Amino acid sequence: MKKRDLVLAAALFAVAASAFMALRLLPGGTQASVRVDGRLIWQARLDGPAQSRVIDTPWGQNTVEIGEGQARILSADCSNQSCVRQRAIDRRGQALVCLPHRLVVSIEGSSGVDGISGGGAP
Amino acid sequence: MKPAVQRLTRLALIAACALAAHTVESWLPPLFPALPGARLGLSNIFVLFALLSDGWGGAFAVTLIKCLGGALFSGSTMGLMYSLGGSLAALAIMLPMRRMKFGVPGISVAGAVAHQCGQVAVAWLVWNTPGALSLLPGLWLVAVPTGFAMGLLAEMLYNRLKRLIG
Repeated sequence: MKKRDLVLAAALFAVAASAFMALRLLPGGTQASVRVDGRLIWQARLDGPAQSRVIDTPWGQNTVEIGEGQARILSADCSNQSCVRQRAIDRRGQALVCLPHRLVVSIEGSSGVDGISGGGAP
Repeated sequence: MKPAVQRLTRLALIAACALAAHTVESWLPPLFPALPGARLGLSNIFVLFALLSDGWGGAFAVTLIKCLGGALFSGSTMGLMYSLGGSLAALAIMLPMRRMKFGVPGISVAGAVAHQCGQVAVAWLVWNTPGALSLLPGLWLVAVPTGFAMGLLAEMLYNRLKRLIG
């Protein structure tokens, strides 16, 4: 083992940690989209009461719930179950992924959470 | 014993260990249920060992046997794609690093991180799931310490065995 090994490991860990934190600090989103194999299946707003829907994919079934400020996967019939264990998401850029079913739940913000501009500058 | 035969036997043994480690590890429950594919990577100890004993040819051979054999035993095509994608990406990064004078743990960490990138790339390109990208930071957080640990173990193992098996 050489010193540069430790430096590399520390650097990569720092990058990973920052990326991880950055995902948490992204602006909140307004709606969630459910895509299977890249195709949009369902889209719903985050605010409002929670709605759940059973999504049938050619590879299996997932139950997705959107509402009350977040999106999450309630259940799935994949052997993996990692999608069910992932935490609910509520920020743009975050996603819930069920790899065996090629299902992705992602958060989108439709418009201006990008800052409130206070009128034009001259 | 001729060197060629010795090399063949040595690599076969290493590959068998890698395959056994990979298979047993796949039976264990995942480290972090929310992160699919985050594992200790025990079989990589043997890939690194082969890299040290027989260079990139050895590492490549052991990797192929590990991936193909693992897929044969588990019966999972999807698993094979992820496994190959990740392992080939890892090899691609690890081989030049040997020249850049990194030690074994450093090479292992780079390989582990590249492995996860490869798997996400497979999810994106082959299985149409770009959302897998959001898993990458978490996967990296696991890859760095496990990669380092596996590298240390590989180095220790190699230092003890190199006199015996050339």
